[in-house]
Amino acid sequence: MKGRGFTTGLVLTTGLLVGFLALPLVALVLRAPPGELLRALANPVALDAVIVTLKTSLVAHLLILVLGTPAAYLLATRRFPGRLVVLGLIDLPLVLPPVVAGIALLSAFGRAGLLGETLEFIGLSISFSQAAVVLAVAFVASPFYVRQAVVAFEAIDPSILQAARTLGAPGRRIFTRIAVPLAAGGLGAGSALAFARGLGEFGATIIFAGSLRGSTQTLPLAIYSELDRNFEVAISISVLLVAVSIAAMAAVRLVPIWLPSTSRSESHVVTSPST
Amino acid sequence: MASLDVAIRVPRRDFALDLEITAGPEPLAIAGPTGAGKSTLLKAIAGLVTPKLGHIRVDDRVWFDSEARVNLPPEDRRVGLVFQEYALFPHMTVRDNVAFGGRAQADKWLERFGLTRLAGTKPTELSGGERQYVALARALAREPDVLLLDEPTAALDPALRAEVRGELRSILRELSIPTIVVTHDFQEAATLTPRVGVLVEGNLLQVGAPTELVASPAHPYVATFTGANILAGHARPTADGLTEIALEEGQLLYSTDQLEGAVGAVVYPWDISLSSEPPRDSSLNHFTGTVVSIVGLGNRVRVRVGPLSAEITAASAIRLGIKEGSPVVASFKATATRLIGLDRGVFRAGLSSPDDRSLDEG
Repeated sequence: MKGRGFTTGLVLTTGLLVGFLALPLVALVLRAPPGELLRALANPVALDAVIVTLKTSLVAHLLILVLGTPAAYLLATRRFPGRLVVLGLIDLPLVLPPVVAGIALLSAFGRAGLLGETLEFIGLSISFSQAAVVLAVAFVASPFYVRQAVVAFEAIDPSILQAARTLGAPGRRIFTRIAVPLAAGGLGAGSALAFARGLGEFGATIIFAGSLRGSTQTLPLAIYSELDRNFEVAISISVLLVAVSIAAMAAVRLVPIWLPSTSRSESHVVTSPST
Repeated sequence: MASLDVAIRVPRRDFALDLEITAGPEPLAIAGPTGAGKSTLLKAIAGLVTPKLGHIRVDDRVWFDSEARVNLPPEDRRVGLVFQEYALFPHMTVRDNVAFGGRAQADKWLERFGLTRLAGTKPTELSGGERQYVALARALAREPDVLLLDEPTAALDPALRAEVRGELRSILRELSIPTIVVTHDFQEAATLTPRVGVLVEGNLLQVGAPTELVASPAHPYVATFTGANILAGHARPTADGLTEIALEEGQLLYSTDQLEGAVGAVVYPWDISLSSEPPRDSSLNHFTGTVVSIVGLGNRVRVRVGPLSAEITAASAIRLGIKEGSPVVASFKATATRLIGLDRGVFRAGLSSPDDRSLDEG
């Protein structure tokens, strides 16, 4: 009887949590019937934002993959002094308030920032440009990919990598032909998570890139700007982003099944930083 | 003829692997219990573990030399290492796995191991024996100067083991490169290679032909490892030229070996005969006790009498009516009783540790 009471308690708290998380989403979707949704999305502000978001997110994502994959491989396969510090630094944007990230980016790359003069000298002005959106998104979304990638590479049986070395393969070949294919499931899952996080980026972008329609105004910024002017558009964009988020979560679950990796973990979503 | 020359010291957590070996075209087996440093030895030769001291040379090529500060990375040593769990690339076909070591010779080795029809399949679809052959073919396609096999049959079903051993034995004879096989199984070492070294806690206790290790073990551990009984006692010469051993349990044994002081008396199970009463034959050593356990081994049975394991035919066991708990006399000749000095005392603790063949209870 005692055990039963406890289980009932667990079910109740879980129910409360699920209700709390689902109710706002349901309310949001109820406010925007599908027909109206499409019409509102045809609004020029929304269309501009979709284009800006896709462009900047794709470039930022490419940046994350190109820099993050080799970095994750290094962190997963080598032990060196300061490795834990690097891992911590990579995770930091996860807990750093995005607004603070925006201020930090501004202090580094802004006109009056640390590298401002140097950048101006070579003819680059980053802040309040589309490049700023890319940097903001990459800064905030990168840990979602990198930490997942570290875990995916760590999950590869070390003797497989050792075997490749004894077979005479140079490091580059082991990375491209063995490590990346074997970690593909985890890399794909991390990639989906980072992409979804990047699409929703708001705080760092508005500080560092501003909210200029057609240039730096991404979907979340468009929601904010349309909130007072055209609430229906704000709602429609929100529903769109909810759909994208659900698709990303599905990808996180499904990609590791489609791309079997040697990862031993059941779920590919990491909740604690790798050490 | 190619030869591998290894003299290394690799500190490990609780002991140091410290040994010198040479391997020529004749394959060498290194046998020892789990944790003896066998895999470490192979990894050091392959360059996956860096020794603290010493050298590793293949003919006149130096792979590692702590004094000359030479340490070639694994990819620059021409070494074929076959991992215990094979370490095949799961996302590649059998052919791609083998060709990863070297494209030119891939087809030749696929054919040699009868893998041609499996060339397009993934390793996960293969049986254990087939995986072992793929791993071997992959290592050989690299055209290695040295071949290293880590526990080649440990991951296999017992039923497959004999078949794979036979195949390994013939392939090792065909090859003319230095080959080292490590295994925890003395029988396997003895079947695969003409020369066996026994490695315990990082030290090579004895190297020799398997029959030599069985006939004249240089160390108590070697004796138990090859399957012998060892009884600790104190030896002194008798007037008639024999050696009398007073066992710790109080009984007396005789041996034709000449040794004094703390000794281990070594008797092989197949040299012990059992009877219901002390026999009137040429055997000098009689051990009276009750049967502790009986284990069937096909047409033979292993009977435990006190600290001794005797091996007799199943037919004799039935004829004698041997049951657990029944009294029995174990007899063996003084000429079948080998003595090993225990004065060094180094591995006394190891006396009862190697595996279930040793005496672990009195």
